[in-house]
Amino acid sequence: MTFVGEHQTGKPQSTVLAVEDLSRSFGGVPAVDGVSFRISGGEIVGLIGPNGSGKSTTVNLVSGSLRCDSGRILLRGSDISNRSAYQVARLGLTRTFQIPRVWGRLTVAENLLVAGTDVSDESATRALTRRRKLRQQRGELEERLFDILATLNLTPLANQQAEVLSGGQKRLLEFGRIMMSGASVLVLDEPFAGVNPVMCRALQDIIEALRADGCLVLLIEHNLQAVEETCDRVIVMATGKIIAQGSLAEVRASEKVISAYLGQAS
Amino acid sequence: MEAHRVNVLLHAIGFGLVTAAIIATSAVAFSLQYAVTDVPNFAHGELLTVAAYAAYETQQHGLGLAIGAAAGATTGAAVAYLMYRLVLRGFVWKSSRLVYTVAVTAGISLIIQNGLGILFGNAEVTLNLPSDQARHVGPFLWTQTDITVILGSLVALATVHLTLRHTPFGRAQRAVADNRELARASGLRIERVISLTWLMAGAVAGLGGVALATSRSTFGPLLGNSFLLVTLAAAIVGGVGRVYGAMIGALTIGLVTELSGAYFNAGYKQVAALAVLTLVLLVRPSGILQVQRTRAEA
Ligand SMILES: Nc1ncnc2c1ncn2[C@@H]1O[C@H](COP(=O)(O)OP(=O)(O)OP(=O)(O)O)[C@@H](O)[C@H]1O
Ligand SMILES: [Mg+2]
Repeated sequence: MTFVGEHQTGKPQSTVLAVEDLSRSFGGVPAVDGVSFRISGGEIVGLIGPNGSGKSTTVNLVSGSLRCDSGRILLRGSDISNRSAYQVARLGLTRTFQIPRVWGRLTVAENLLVAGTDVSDESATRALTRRRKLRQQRGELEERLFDILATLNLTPLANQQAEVLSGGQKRLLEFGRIMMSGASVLVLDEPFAGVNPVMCRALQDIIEALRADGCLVLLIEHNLQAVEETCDRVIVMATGKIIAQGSLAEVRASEKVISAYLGQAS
Repeated sequence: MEAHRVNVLLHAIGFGLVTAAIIATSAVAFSLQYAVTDVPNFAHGELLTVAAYAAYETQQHGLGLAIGAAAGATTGAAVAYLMYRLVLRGFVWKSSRLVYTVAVTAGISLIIQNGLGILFGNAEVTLNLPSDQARHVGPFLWTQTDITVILGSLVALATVHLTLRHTPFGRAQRAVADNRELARASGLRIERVISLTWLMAGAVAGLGGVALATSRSTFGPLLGNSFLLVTLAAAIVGGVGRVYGAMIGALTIGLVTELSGAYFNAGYKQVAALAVLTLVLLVRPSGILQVQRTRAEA
């Protein structure tokens, strides 16, 4: 793929996504309560924690789907806290949903094309040689479409309505949308949930390949084995707060983490 | 005697196809706009009416019906766009409650009706149509105007179809109609897609209005409003918000109304439309095209 992630060369990475003291409550009850973290380009970070600890809400805040009550979100140094979801997406931050979402009445190929088109459409308005550029981009877009369909084994389903896909196939299509969008900051809400082990492996490979392309990945996951295999480090949340950060082995040993998880079980 | 019966039938079907063409244009505009923007527009009829008056006005200036149609489409587009930008946008973003949007669009409908009454008078105006003889086209008896209306609608519907299926903008429209939040999260400029959809639906409705005016030849400020029921019936029969369904719904309603008019009484046309609507709602509440989808989900 195009360029190799700098992390592989061992150079120190600069922060791409920074969240500072982020808070949001619903009806007076805090769901996210003073959360701060930083993630560098090329990193894969797991966000774990018991049910209802505020992980999805954090994703909603970071991606602009929800407004924060206070705090800041910085993407490559610029404040995106008050940007709307579509602006955040245009800045190269894409998210997936806990329950996979697709445009059911569009075909699989169209789902991917929509994810890819609008961005090229914007750069086209900037271009002076509009026509030629547009045609060239359309060619590139289709090439990328065929590549991605093949990578995801979705080629035979390209012209099916996306609503007929199985849950796992919808996950694949979500990944396809991310790849198509060319986003470099990926926030994935439980991408492996309800996916069989073989496909889970395939999705992990895709995440690894995206990282190799320089993407930063923040991923929520309950399956700790998948987290261990995929993530460089983890952030642990409980009741809206971050209670631990570090390698999975480190946080597993933390008293706070153990009691948070046990507290949920009891 | 037998030949006469066949003639009455063919005649009614011929009429039905013309009516269906007009309903289809109106219903496709309604469905497209509803699907993408989520606003049930009870001022839809007025988009037809303003277009009809625009065509009438160009005629008063000695211009032909083709220019009248263009003026109608432009006026329909402009009014729909302004309706959204000036009034509905504020309501839609503040509250998604259906009752409010229904009440607001119904209010706009009354304002436009009265405005047209003030501008053009409440008496009916008459479009000058080329006086032409009905002639046989295949089994049907059509005037030149009828043929123009059918061809014009076909062109409008084909344009909508091609836009939706084969352009990036059409894909974006369908994506917004399908799942707006996902579209937003994917970086689509929803606001722009919605504004342009009002423009597009307004233009198509405008063409429908000019077609309707030519088929009636005399009309007043209530022209479009009187057509809202059949438009809604066609849109609902086809499955609300389903553009292709609306075409089939229009064909059904157009044929049923004209056939009932031919065999019973012209006064029963609207009743026939309502009867079909009720029947479809009883048997297939989400429209005649819906059956496949339910099966897929089951
Ligand atoms: N839109 C909302 N309105 C009201 N409360 C909400 C809303 N979204 C989240 N919450 C509340 O915020 C808290 C955190 O929810 P969130 O979905 O972020 O948890 P989570 O960590 O993703 O949990 P899970 O692992 O079960 O997905 C919960 O108590 C939830 O009820
Ligand atoms: Mg969650």
